[in-house]
Amino acid sequence: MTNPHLNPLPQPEGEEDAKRLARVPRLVLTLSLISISQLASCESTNYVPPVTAKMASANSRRQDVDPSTHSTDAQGRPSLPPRRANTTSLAKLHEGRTLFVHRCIECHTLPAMWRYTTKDWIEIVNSMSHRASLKPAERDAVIAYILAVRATER
Amino acid sequence: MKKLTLSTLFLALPAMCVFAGVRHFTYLYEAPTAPPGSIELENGVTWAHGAGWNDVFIREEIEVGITDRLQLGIYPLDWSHHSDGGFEYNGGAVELIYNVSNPVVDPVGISLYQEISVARQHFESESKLIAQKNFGRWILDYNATVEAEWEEKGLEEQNGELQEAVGASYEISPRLSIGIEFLHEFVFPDWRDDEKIRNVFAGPNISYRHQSWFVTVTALAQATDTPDEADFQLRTIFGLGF
Repeated sequence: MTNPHLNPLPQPEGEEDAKRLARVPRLVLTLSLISISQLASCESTNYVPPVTAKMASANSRRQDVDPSTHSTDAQGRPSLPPRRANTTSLAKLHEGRTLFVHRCIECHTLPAMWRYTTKDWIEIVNSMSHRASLKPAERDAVIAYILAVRATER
Repeated sequence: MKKLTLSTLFLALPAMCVFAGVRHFTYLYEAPTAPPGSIELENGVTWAHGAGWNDVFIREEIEVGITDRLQLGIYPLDWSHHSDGGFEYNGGAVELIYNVSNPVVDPVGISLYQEISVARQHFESESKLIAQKNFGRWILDYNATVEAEWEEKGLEEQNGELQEAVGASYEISPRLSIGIEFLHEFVFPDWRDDEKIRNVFAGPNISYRHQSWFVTVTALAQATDTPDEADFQLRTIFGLGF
């Protein structure tokens, strides 16, 4: 008579494979949850702050948040803003934020606001506005939001 | 005069059309929808290799942004080539994607997807829940799919399939992304689970975009041992915003 504890009966191979496979989705789900929690806490998380009244008034100090007041170059593209006081409406900044988070992510992730200079941001948004199906007023709203964040959040 | 008008319209089309959006995955759908007024042509080719057989599937899609949240896709040409049977026309399909929430500012970006495919002696419905979250340069994506198909004479044969898919993509530069895709399928012939068919596929992907076009390629290997399923698949999607 054999002791079953010393000589356990071998399981059929198919059954072992099935058990191993059943663990794969659970493993993927666990790894995904760990990755999400790690990513959520790291610095790479998107920074798209909500619009505040401070942002709307920031241009009176920085005078560079409303691209609708910008002069244009020979090709009709907006150039750097002139030095004059103006006010960007909250509604425009809200529209700019909504468009920024909806239209830009159709092709790429959102870069950090500080990655480019004010001049670069204007050129980047202008160059991509056609691909993102942005009308001129919408393009200006996106630029206004980005520059308002830069003017107030750092 | 009509010819002149048509020619003018055709020449002006590239200026009128804009890009609908880049695919970072080929087996998974993403939550963002195309901007209103955008039109894009997407060409998808899948090569499937099994034990002693090779199949090629070709899908053409015209993607149209209807509103900020609603996207329409039309598949007028759905072809396949089987190593043992030549070319086959598989009919056409229509899909709608409705975006519920945004993957950047909302806790999870959610979209709802519905596709209807019709061919001779074949009707198929595919419903998806798409969940996506963007973390900096990372895109994490999840699709849960329910597929129901009716085929053969009188559409008497019924099959069902549940699928969950997970993908992660990292943006190396604004033009280049790499990632992984993972599929887990539950197949129910006749809507029964007697055969316990489970398929698992996993593999890497790469996506490149420039101006008004993109190309994304995924290579998947089967981790299970289902005889009728492909051991290896390679899918390429090329998108062009006119």
